[in-house]
Amino acid sequence: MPKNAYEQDEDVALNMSPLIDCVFLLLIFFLVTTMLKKDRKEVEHLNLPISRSSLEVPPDDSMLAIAIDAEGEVYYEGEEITVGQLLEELKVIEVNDPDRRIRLDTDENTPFFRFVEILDALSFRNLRNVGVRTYHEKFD
Amino acid sequence: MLKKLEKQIPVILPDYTAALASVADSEAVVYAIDEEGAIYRASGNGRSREGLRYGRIDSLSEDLKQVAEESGLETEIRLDTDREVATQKVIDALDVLAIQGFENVGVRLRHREELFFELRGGR
Repeated sequence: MPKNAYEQDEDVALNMSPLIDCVFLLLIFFLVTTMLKKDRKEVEHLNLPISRSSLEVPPDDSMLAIAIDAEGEVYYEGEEITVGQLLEELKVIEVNDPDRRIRLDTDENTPFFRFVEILDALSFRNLRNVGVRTYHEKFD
Repeated sequence: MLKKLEKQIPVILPDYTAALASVADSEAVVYAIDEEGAIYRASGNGRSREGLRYGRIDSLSEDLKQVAEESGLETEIRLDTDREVATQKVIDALDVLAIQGFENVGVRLRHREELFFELRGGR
């Protein structure tokens, strides 16, 4: 009677080496390919002001982004705009979505009167859900 | 993709009708920031620009500690800023106020030599 071939292999074990190789390959793949979500509304050349007392908030894709650079130029959703044009755009938002979140990006050297002018425009259009973006050590 | 978090300072905007108020409360402690970011404290009659005399202070936080001891953290603080001052300088001053615990803070901007823009409860 032939002997059962399996009876001879008493110390059967799964070879873990290929499995670990696969796990590491997957880990490296995700590390290399993962990137932070880029904000298309962002104005690239701003040096955001630093604040020790600002609050960490999750981003909102529907948030309206208004930016003012160091020279006082105003950007609406990443596109340069005049204050008069901004007031017209804000008029549409006032009618359609008055509670929309608004993010105001400024440069650390933005003249303060320009900053106040934009707040004045928002206030004039009764848009009050406003936050001033500051530098985040991890994500900016 | 990971979503990045943001840091923001929430702003409480004034009613537009009050935005060009040229008269302030006399009870407010008034500080000012010049174009270079130097801090001044006003003394005298707080109701008019003409009645105020500004004296330079070395440390805003030390001065605020004194205000907190004398009048408490509920004291209204007004920050008069130069039109051309960099936004970072104003945020630095607001940071010091927030860290010291003052919440009743307004920012006022001298506007075209005559009028003032006023942000009440600006944080």
